[in-house]
Amino acid sequence: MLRVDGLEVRYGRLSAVKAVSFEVGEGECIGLIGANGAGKTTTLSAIAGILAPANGTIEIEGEEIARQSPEAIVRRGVALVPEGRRIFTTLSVEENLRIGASIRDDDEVGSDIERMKERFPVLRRYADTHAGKLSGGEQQQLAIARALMSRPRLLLLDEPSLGLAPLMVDAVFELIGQLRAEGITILLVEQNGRRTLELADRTYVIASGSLAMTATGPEDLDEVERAYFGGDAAVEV
Amino acid sequence: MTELIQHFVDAAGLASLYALLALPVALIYGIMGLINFAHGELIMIGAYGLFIFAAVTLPLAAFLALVLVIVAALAMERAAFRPVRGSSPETLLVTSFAVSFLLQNVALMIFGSRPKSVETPSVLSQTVTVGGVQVEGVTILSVGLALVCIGGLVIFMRHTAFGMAMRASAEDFTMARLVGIRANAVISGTFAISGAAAGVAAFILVVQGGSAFATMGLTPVIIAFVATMMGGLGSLSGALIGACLLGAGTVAFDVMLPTQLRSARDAFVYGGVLLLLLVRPQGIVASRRERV
Repeated sequence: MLRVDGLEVRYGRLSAVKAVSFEVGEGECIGLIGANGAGKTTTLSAIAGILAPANGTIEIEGEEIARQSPEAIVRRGVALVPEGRRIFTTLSVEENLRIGASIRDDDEVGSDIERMKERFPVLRRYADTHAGKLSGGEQQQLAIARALMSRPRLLLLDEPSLGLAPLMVDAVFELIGQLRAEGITILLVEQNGRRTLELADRTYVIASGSLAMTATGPEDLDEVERAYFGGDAAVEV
Repeated sequence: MTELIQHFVDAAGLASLYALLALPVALIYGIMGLINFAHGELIMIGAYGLFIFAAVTLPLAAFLALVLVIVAALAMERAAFRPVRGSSPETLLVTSFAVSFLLQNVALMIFGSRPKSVETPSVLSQTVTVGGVQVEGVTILSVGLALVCIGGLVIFMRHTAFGMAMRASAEDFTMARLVGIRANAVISGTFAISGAAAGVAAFILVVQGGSAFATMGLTPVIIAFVATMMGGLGSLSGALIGACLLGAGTVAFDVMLPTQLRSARDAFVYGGVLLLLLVRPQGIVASRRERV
């Protein structure tokens, strides 16, 4: 489904990501974890088309997408739920859902909006409210629902649990599990290593812009902790 | 009382023209972070359009001039601003200065430095008196056109898919692209709207001044910036409020200043603007925005 090969992304002369390679198979849920500044968000941004890679290839179903525009990549079936949610606060909740379907011209957009409201009852309750008035957890639900409105085949999630109350974190991870069960391929960037290891089919640990290890489940947690900062620091993951 | 209504009518005429000038400038800044100094030259092109097409009937000439300005706005975006999109605000600003001077000088080459007079129907320069209040035809025209344009813009922004895409782009351009909104389409559309507004403003200015000349865009564009700055750059409601304050302030100083100071009215008006910006540097309505 997604193949990243030798990805390098630079900010000026600084390489934020260097020679990162990994694959996400059809229907898989893959984790990408690492400390702040390790290059997780940069990797997702390159896949989504926000940042142009300096080197390497990014393929979706065998087709090269690196250096394409974000609006072209979302048409390939790749939707990003960005860090910090970035819902449109001046638009209503309903408009946020509608705008998530910008790439579609079929007549099922209306019924999809209904389905989202059933899945996330809070979105029905606040449908006509400015999205900026929602709480953090509600905004996260809206951000995921907005991404789903494009009917993506690959969903990129950037720290969906960040800044949420523990109960909301549970709900978000449960939702990601449901989405995977529905057949959506997921690439999940997280700080919450333990939860990610439990959920994901495979988890890549990224440290200082490079892949440090590949973990397959919670049993790898100790090794992941060591890899997190290249073994220098003890962190709770 | 009659006098007060008279001042109100004068202020409304001025404010509606200012709103037509400020709105497109705020719209483009909101979407792409560009302070389009060359907006004044779109007005100039509209005025020359009225001069060129004057041979046909006025409504047709006005329509053709409007189309001409919209085409010019789209061409301006395509040729000058698209290549520098995403650059620093300074680069964008200097580009718009360059476009502005280029167009002024092209106009000088084609039409010369003497104003070209444009005939407009005499009814627009007549004054009607309603209950002691004098209303110029051009005031009715300004207020009417401004209300139609602003109302149309509000309906367009609120109730069309393209308007929703514009609002989303103004808030977070990158995120808008991530949901699939085409950057080129939104920016071209915004320039087309700004061109239409410039065409309407050109019509009012030609009716007021009776002529078209190469540097006629300068004063309107400065007024547009001042009004948008007062309201808060990038905010449409702010631009409207700024335009109303500037219009009302101009009339107020005109009325209150002693005769010998009246020629320095603008110094007082812009002194007031300066004070406002000292107190609220972000403008009356502060807006959040992200650059393209």
